[in-house]
Amino acid sequence: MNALLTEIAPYVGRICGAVALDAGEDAAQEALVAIFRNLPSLRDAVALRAWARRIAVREALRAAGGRRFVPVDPTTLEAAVADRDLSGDVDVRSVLASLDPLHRAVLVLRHLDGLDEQEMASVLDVAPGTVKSRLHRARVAFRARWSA
Amino acid sequence: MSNWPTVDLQPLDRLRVLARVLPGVWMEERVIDAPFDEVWGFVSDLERAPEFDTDLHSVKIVSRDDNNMKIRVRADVFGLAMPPTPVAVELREGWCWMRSPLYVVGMAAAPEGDRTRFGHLEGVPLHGPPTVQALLQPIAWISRLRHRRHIPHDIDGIERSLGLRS
Repeated sequence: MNALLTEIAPYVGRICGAVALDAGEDAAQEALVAIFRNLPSLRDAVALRAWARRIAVREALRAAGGRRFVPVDPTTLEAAVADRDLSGDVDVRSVLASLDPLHRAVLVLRHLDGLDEQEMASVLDVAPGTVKSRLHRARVAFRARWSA
Repeated sequence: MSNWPTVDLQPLDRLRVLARVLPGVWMEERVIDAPFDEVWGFVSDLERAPEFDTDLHSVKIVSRDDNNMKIRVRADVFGLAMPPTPVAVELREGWCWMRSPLYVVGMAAAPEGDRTRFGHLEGVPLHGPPTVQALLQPIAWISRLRHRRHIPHDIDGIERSLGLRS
């Protein structure tokens, strides 16, 4: 169990950190508990990862629920962007914080996890068309805030 | 976009997760009034564990490879002396996980100001299909009950060994 936790925790941490931001630690713990409580029902490693992803996204969105769409003061953001190190954590975090958690989730699944629209739709329990439009809006919002 | 925010599960969080998912274990946390280096320096010297755990007769390190060790433990279980038991250990700064086929012990610690938050987990690591877990439920219950009393004594023993209580 401990060895499996070592293997799966970083993956869950990436999803929860990027989607739930400040609530990421709580989300990651809750996701790991949910994953491991139902572990005996999983048959193979691929199924485990897919299932872990689904639970991590669900818990991250739930944890982020109380703080959906954190508004960012444009003047603060502009100052941050002007001084930015393009590869820095702080800038990515600031931009992500200005997005709706649902948009963060599709960006994470697409750009961190490399899922296609069909797979993302399955994880998020929505139609592929919904994923497509949500991803488009998320990318537009991300680029707009990143280059502001 | 390589530096996305991420969560790095810390040792105490990790121990809390394991405490919630292993049905036969119990975990206690306490803030010990001593610096992290002093607390961790003592508890991670595993051969000194009999100084604070009265169930232990001896702990001997058999082999060591980076963060992993094999130890041999002589202990009482429910008051009965058990034969020497091989135990696999993962030991890092602030994290120790010891596992034998029928028993697990976990310790985790982190600085909290000048003091140390210390977590201790012990018990019978029952897991398996839900039907097996249902059958083992009474053992899990007894194990939790026993360790709910035992672990605070261990932490008292650590504080005593560090000169923090008489």
